Amino acid sequence: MLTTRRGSHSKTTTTCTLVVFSIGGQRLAARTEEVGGVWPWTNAMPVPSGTAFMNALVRRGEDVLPVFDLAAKLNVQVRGTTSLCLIAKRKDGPMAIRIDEEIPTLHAVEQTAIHRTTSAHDEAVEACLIETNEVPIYSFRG
Amino acid sequence: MTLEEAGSAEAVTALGVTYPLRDMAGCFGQPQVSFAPESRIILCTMGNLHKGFRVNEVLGLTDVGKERIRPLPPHFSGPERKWFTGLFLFRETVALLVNPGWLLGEETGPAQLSNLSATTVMALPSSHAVAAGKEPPTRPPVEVLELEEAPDADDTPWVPL
Repeated sequence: MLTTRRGSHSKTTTTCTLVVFSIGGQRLAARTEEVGGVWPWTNAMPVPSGTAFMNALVRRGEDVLPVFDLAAKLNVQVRGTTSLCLIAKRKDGPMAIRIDEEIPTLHAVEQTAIHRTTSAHDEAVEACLIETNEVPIYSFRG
Repeated sequence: MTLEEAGSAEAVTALGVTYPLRDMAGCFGQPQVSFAPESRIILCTMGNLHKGFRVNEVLGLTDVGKERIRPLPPHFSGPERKWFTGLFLFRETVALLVNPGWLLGEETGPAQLSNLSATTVMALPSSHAVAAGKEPPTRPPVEVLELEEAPDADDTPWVPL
């Protein structure tokens, strides 16, 4: 077992790892435990649907995932010709989200740096200052 | 059947059965099917319900075993759960299974047939039909799919369209 010897004045800090990605140039984040991976985007098959922003299926091998159109929800266009597919873990199963071609990055941040926000992003009730930007943290768990 | 063969009538009569025509895309609130060379009409029958649907293209016929059919992901929670009974892997992509009970029972029913103008088509021995008064085309224009109730009440009847 690994142990850490702390001085009597040391403070315990918890860190959390975020995946930072962009959609339409907007920087967004999600906790790593809520992200199942990032794939190249492949053609999605449109599905006639009355569920808001859930309007396609994407296939990868034997797997078929529903597509959540976060870009449409944010009212932006995904940027780049080789966009990516972020797999978001939801309680009822994974779903695919098309994101910009910019490769997502991992950021370890202290829990104390995360604060609640009242931004316009429905699924983002928290935000974090990364570099100089306030980045909303999305939760797709549902 | 091509759209030209069906003509501009609101229904097609084949093998003595009249099929009211409808845009399949319209059933799902989608824009109308464009009139392209690959557009087709599919005639469907279930019990005493008969309808024809305009589609953008027929990609082919395939047999799908029950074990290959997957449910629609639970993320879809709207009327689409009524529209589609499931999905299956088809070639390099995915195909949705239309719920025939909903599709054929929806809106225009047999009671309204008398109001529709119909193009009559005649049957060929091969069960294919051609538009009356025209030369038989080089390929069968019509494939009549008979839909049956599944013997197991838990299984929703389906047909790949």
